[in-house]
Amino acid sequence: MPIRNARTSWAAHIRWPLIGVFALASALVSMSPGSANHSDTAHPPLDTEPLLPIPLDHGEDPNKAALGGKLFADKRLSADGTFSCTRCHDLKNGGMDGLSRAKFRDGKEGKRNVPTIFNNRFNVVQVWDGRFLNQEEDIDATITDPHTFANQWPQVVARLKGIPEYARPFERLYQKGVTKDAVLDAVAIYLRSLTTPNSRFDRWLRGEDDVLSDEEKKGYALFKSYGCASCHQGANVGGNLLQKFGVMGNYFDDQAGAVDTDLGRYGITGQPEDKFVFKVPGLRLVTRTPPYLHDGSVKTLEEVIQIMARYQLGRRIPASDAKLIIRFLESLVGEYEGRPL
Amino acid sequence: MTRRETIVFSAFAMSVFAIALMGMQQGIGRFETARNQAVEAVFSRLQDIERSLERDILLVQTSALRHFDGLARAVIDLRQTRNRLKRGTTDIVNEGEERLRRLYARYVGATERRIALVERIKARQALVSNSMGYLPTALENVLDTADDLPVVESLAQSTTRTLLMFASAGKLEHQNAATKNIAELEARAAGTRAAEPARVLALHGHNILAERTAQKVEIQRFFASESLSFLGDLLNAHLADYNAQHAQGQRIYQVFTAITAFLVIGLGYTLLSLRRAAHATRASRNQLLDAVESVPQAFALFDKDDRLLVWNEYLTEYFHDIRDDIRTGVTFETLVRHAAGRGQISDAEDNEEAWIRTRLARHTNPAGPFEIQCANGRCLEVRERRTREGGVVTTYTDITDSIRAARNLARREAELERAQELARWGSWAWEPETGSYTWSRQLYRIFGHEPDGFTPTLDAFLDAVHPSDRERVRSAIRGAHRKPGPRNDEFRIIRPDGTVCHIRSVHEVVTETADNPVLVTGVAHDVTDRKRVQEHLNRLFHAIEQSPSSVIITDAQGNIEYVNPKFVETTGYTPVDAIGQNPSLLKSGYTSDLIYQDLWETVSAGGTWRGELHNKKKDGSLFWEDATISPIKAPDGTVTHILAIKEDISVRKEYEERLLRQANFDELTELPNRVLALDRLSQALARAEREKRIVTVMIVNLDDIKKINHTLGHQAGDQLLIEVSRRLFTCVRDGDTVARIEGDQFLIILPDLSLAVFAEVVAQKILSICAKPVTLAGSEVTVSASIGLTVYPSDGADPHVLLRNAHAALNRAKEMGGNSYRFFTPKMNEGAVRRLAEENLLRHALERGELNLVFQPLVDARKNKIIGAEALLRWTNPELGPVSPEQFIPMAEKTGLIVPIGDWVLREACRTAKGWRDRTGIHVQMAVNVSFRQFKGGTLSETVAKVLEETGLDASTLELEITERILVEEAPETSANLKTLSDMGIRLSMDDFGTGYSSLSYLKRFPFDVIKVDRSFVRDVTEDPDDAMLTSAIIAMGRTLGLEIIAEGVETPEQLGFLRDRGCDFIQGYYLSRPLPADEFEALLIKSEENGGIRHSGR
Repeated sequence: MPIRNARTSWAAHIRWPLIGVFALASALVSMSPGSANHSDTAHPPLDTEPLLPIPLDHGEDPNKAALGGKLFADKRLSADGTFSCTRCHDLKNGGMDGLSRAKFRDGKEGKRNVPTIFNNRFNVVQVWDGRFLNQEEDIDATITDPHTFANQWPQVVARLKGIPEYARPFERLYQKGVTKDAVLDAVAIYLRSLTTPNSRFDRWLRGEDDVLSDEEKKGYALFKSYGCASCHQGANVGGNLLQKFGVMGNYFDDQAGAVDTDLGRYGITGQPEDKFVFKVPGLRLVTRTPPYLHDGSVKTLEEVIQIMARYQLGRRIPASDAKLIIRFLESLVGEYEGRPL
Repeated sequence: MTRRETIVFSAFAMSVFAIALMGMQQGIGRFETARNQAVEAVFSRLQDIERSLERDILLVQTSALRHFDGLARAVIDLRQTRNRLKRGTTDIVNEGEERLRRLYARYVGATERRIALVERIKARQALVSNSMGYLPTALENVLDTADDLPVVESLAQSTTRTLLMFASAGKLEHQNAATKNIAELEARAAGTRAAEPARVLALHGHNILAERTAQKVEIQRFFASESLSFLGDLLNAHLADYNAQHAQGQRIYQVFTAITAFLVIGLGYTLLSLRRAAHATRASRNQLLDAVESVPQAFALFDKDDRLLVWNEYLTEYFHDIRDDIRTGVTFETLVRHAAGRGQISDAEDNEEAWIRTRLARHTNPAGPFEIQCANGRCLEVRERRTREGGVVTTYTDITDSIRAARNLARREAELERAQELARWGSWAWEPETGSYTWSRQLYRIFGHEPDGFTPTLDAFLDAVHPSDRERVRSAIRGAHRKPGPRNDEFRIIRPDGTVCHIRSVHEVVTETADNPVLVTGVAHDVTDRKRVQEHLNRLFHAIEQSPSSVIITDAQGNIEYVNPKFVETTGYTPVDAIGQNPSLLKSGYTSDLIYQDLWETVSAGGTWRGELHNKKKDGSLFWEDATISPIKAPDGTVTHILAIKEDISVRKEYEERLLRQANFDELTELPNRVLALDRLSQALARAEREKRIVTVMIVNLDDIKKINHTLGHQAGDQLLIEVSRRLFTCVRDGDTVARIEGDQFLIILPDLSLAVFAEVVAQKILSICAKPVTLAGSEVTVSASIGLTVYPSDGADPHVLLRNAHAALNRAKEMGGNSYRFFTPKMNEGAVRRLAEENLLRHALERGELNLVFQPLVDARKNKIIGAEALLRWTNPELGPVSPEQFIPMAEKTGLIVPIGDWVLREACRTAKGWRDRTGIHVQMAVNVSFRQFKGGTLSETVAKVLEETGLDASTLELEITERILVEEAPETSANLKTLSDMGIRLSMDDFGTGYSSLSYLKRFPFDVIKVDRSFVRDVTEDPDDAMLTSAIIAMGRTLGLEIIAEGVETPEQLGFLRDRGCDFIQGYYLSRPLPADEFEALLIKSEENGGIRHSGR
């Protein structure tokens, strides 16, 4: 890069530090988000893929999460000491109970399938119909739900105050000790800490080319090209939006009474546009959490892929392609506490 | 403890207490400030989140968002942050006033509506992108089934195209076109094989149209959300609240300070007053007597036994009938009884004894003044007071005249009062001389006082006047007499209940002499209501005048009656220009007439129209306005005026457009950016997969652009990037993509190359074009580039993998010092570079005479006699040394250089053969290889004829060796060419037989004379039974067809023996002779003729 109009050398010497300062300043200015000016990217930028890797660290306070985790497994949160969160959200079973529908304390069935508790932090709202705007609302409602914990907050707080193994850490971590808000906060933090990072798929996204087999890569390509990734995208492969179930046809009408009609979010908002709208479930652990759909009425992934193809995408997916997609879905399963799920 | 000590101690204690309180107050103040900062941080965070939502929604519109995590995060954040306003230390909602709770609820409502819109927009986006993704497949399905229906085909294509255009730009015209196309497509495809695929395409098309259209409305509603302005209201209310609390704190603080000061002063004062108390008891008595005679009333002083002590002349005058009784020592009772008994007191006429008793009782316990009516018509006002010594002082004042006057006055006053009440005017009078100050009852009402509970004085009146107006009013009244005549004034008063009233007052001075006012009288009127209306109107007017939005008011017919200054500022039209005109004055012609029609229909129907108008200013420049236009109605519902409130949104529009562009294009160079480039790459890969083509991806990186930035400034660097991007365009063809993916990196996609090697040509071109000097900031600069290349499908099938590979190759190119290019895999990379260097050299090889021919003898093994020669091309380059034909001949074929080279070979071989023949007289067959490229164009036979004529060689001496590839391509000219050549008497031989398709049909269809068995068979013929069998079969077959068979590559006597045993007599190979230069060949030829055979080199 010869420059013909050369300056005298002393002038150049004086100018260099100044130019350095300007260069630094302009570099800082140009590093605004969106301009994506990374100089050393031998690797594709992740934000052009519809799927994102789950961050390796959830970033929640470990002490509060540990306290919340204890409560999560503790039956003493329920009025009669028989019910705990883990009863439905079994972390060893993909964060759910493996049943079609939730099972209540009296043995009766709820109307919907228990969703996995993992990766809930990526969900824009909680549970199938988005009834709860955050984890705290969910926990609050569950504790006082007559079907499950059937408890009252004054009782919960009083009971926990009487248990030194809770009273002491709460005193340490929260200014006012055991309070309803503190209990909600601890459990919510624990819930938000439940993520499944470092799946093979994530490692592939982060640049390890060999961790996925050709079939899995093919499956991912199909997942995108069939349009699945229009809804199932982001770190949780879904969960971040609400969508109508039955875009290309009325699923419930076609079942002709074989399954109960569920109006979904309409039950919360009463808005006609919300009929059959559900939260799009995240697919991170989908191969670990049968049965499928909001009511757990479908036993296998093959079947549910066909239902999705027909009612959401308006097309058919050959069985051979569906198999490849399932291979890909398998690669989405990550680790919890450093161990594969 | 003495009383004094008690006072001192308590004062001290109070001081300490007050000072402690002051300290506390200050501490609270500091805590309040920190808390308020935290609250304001929450507000600013909320604002940021909403802004980021807005940005992302704009991106959704451009389909640039690949996932919704950012939006979901923002929604979660918004709710969480919002909740902080009612929790913990930043709780302003539960701590604040009712008004804050209301505003918070309103803000929450607005954000939730906004979030609900975000959710809908997202859901629709997912549906749109799904259908968009399916469009190519759906189109393909239609095309597959509509082979014989060109109309359906073209409709399907235009449907897809208009849909894609609509989805990306959202324009109405595309929407209409797409709707039309879909309808027509369905109609035309009905009843054909393409009906079902067309229905599916239409379904997805309708889906895109419906969802996008609905989404557009939702996006508009999203941007129309008032949540941010509600947030602003909430913040303002909080700040007002905070300031009020703060002010209250200040007040409490001041009170504490005052208490402290008071206590300290009080302490000192108390001590002083204790000492003074003793001196204060002596008083004078005589002064009283001195004063008695000068009093202009009747006066009497009775001692404690009620005996008359002192009196004056008036007393005897007023009570003339009992003047003899008035003497020192007479009792009061005696005087009263005598006066009443002589009929002097009219009041006592009815019941003398009762009156006397009342009078005595009053005398004993004096209270307020009372009147006595005397028989002589005189009316006396009596005032009595007890003296310190226990006596009583009595005064009598003649009020006969004043009472009469007062009665008249009272009557008139009552009338006036009534009038004032009706007119709501109050009146007052002030006598400067006496200080008397009287109010009418209405004035009490205006001032908010009960007539009984308030004594009007000038000071009390002035106290009621608003502090800001007080001085003005005071001086107006006091100075009133200096300027005679009625005076007008307006001022405010504060009523006891705190309400402020506006008073309009007129007062006048009544003077006796020029500057001696005896009376100032005035009337006052409560004008608060009128004032309020006036102020309200003023405020509204100012609001409109100073509004940041343009405001236009027209009459019902649309003639402009009013425009505000913002309108003038925005459009450049002054009120004079605009008033009386129609708003169409601003029409630019870029807003659809349908919009105006909709506007007038909405407004005429009494509704409010809201929308965007693309208007023109006075100076002709265009601008965008967001307009809200609504009718103003009279109480009876008729539209009297039309109000338009408009906001210049040109900046926002520009921002939206820029964002749209930014999402896909690099601002500086206007090239596609990384996002769009990756999209194009994916498309290119998909097409290449279908068409089985290769795609070459290259990343071009400018070496050392940082130095340019440093030495010549960033502007020069930018200029360079623009220049380079322009140059890059000249290196590629239509259909190729040039994109800027990073600061100094360009991505080039070549989707249409049949061979990767052509990419090298492009890369070479780029390197050389980049190396041309550029003038930047007055300096001529040369830059170099490095290029990394990678090829689909051999290097990867995924855009990202290809990009990564290209980066890796680029890095290697840079490692090599820049100004070069590298292919991704090291092997390809090295080969490619060498090939390119060779190719460049090969171009010049012919003209520089670097090519030469060698000749390998063809021998009849049985007769041991040279019957011919194969001309073989050799290239010896001064730099490269000898280059293998396997290397350079394919290159010459690829680049087309083989045609001139082939011609040269033919000519040279024929010349040589002719020379041998002429010099030795021996017939030697000359075999020349012909490339398939020479057959293209169909001029080979002409060239051969020309060469034979030039050299004078007999056609039968020439043998052309042709590879199977020529035949496989089956070009129509091939067959004709071969026939012509054969007819000319030229022998044709099939080269490399057995390696390719080796179809017998070729041998039958084309006029071949010779088969050359490929050296690969010959090599293993004695070891590999398969090769032995194949070779035997070829020989047998050739013989059956009556063809000559030549075995190439014979290197051992065993091979020779095998071939000879099978009946193959013509041999070529190192065993007999290596290829020889022409002169050596000639020598060998002569020698073998003389010796009757050639000597085997193997022996």
